[in-house]
Amino acid sequence: MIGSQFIAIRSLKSNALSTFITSFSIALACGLMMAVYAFKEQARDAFMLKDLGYDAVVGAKGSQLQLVLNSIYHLEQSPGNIPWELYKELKTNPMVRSAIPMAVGDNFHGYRIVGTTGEIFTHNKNGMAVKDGRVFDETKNEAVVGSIVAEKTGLKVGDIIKPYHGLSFNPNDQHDDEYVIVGILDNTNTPNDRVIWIPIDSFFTIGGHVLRGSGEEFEANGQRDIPDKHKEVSSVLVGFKSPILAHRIAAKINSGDQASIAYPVATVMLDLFNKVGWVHKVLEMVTWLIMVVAAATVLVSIYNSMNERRREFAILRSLGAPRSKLISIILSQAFVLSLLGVIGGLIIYGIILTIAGLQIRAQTGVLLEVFKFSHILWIGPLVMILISLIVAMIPALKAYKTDVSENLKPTS
Amino acid sequence: MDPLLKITGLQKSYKSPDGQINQVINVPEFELAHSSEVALIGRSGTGKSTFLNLICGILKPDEGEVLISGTSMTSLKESAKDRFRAVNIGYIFQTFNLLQNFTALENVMIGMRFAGKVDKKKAIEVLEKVGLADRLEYRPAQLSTGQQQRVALARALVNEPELVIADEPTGNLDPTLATTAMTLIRELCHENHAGLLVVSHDKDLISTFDRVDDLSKINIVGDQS
Repeated sequence: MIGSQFIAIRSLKSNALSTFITSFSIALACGLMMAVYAFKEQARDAFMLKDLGYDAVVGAKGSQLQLVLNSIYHLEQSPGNIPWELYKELKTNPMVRSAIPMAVGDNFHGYRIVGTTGEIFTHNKNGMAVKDGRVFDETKNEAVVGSIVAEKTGLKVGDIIKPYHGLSFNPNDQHDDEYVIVGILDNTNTPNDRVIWIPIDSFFTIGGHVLRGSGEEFEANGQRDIPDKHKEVSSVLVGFKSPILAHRIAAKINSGDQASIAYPVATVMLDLFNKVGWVHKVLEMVTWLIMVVAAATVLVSIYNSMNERRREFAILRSLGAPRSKLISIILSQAFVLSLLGVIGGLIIYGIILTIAGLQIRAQTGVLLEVFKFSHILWIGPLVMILISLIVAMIPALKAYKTDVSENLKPTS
Repeated sequence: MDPLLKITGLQKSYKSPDGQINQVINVPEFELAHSSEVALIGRSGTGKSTFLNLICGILKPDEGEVLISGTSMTSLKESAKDRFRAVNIGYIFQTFNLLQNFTALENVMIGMRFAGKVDKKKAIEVLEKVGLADRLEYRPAQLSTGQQQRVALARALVNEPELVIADEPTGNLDPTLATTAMTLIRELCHENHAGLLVVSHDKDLISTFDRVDDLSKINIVGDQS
């Protein structure tokens, strides 16, 4: 009952403010460090978007990253368009499993409207399922809404929307064309949740849309039967039958002057993470420094109490406490302080990642698995406790050397 | 049978800030029989507290030997000496030296902890015996001076030590409380068959002892303290 930890805890209680401040600084440091590490892991996992159902993105010549960000993450501007013929070539290529065209350029209150085919809903067994209603009829002005769009805008089956021109919302730039919402998609935790899907043929016909597939400008103005030569798409999502064939096609496309291919998609994203890796390294270094500062608060907190505790230690020694007991009391104190800190740190970690996750979900549609187990969740606390115990050895040795007879003398 | 306390050739010196070696203790011989009591008197600075700390093993002598019931405190290893002190010696201080963050009961139990025999029931019994049954959960700051003295007494005697050392045990008490406290110390020592060594300046207290030793005569170092 009355062991080192009991004595240590009683001392911490009697210095409640100092205990709170010290453990709070540990909590902040530990929480921040775990959040930085876990965020990197989870962001990487989440943005890799496994089981996409396609392997590559074909689009206009230019940055592969921009192509991926635009076509899969629905971020950034489109690097340009490619002719419809290229889509048809890919679609009929025997080495290609699936080819889905995508046309972008309009939005509804900031949420992208993407023209595509019905295949987008069926190409992947883990793909987008309709929660309410049905998928669009490719011959009509119908729209299917992603889960985040429905949640944020309140759109429901039966509503009618008019697209706004451009990828950024401008209330003065609305098209006259109307679309009926016929379906609300289930949550996929991917960027697709932030998209409104419409038939690609209807996209071509939206008033003011200029098609340049033939090299000349063509405006459909509601005319459905558009010759293929005028059509163009922003990108094509391509699934290959085998990786060997994929490389052959990729090489062919990239050597031409019409289009470029981002393949494999995961590699392009990995390159992005590697390019911004230095930012994370800096953050890691900062969090380690904060950990050291937090450990220093443990040292200062215990060390500062040593003068007033000399008498306590001398009394304990006079009662028969061995010197090692004093070390054990101080280390217990550091242990309890750091334990309180890491418990607080786990709470702070949860708060930071929840907020970051909500932000990322709102901005990109990608869902971070905030409470997914990560090794840093035990490594971080363990390291923090060990550092605290190491720095606590300084006051512990001071306690060890307490001059008993000197400190037992009457003080007044 | 070995005496309770036997001291031979005990010497202790300190180095002063100017580098001089000052001898504080030089006690050629001192003995105390089992279950007996002695009062030690002496002028300030004759090394009374140093002498007690040497007996308890808190200080290490330069020379000489302290035997308690035949066990040589001076030749025990430090950890064994700590344990021996916890089990066999009860120390009562002038300023009580209670642990301020702990209750009366916890103060007594901490004393038991280092002797390796924590027994809450017994700690309560001893506190009841010194009249603090209703103050078990009080901290020292919440107790009167007399009550603090009784907690210190309970803590010193709870392990039923063979030797009780009291350094100015009534120095901080008024005459009435001093008499009560001393009576209690004697009673409990008698009950436990413990020997009692009291250092005091209190003439009334000293007059109650059959044996009174003057440390300035025992400690032949003279005025060098």
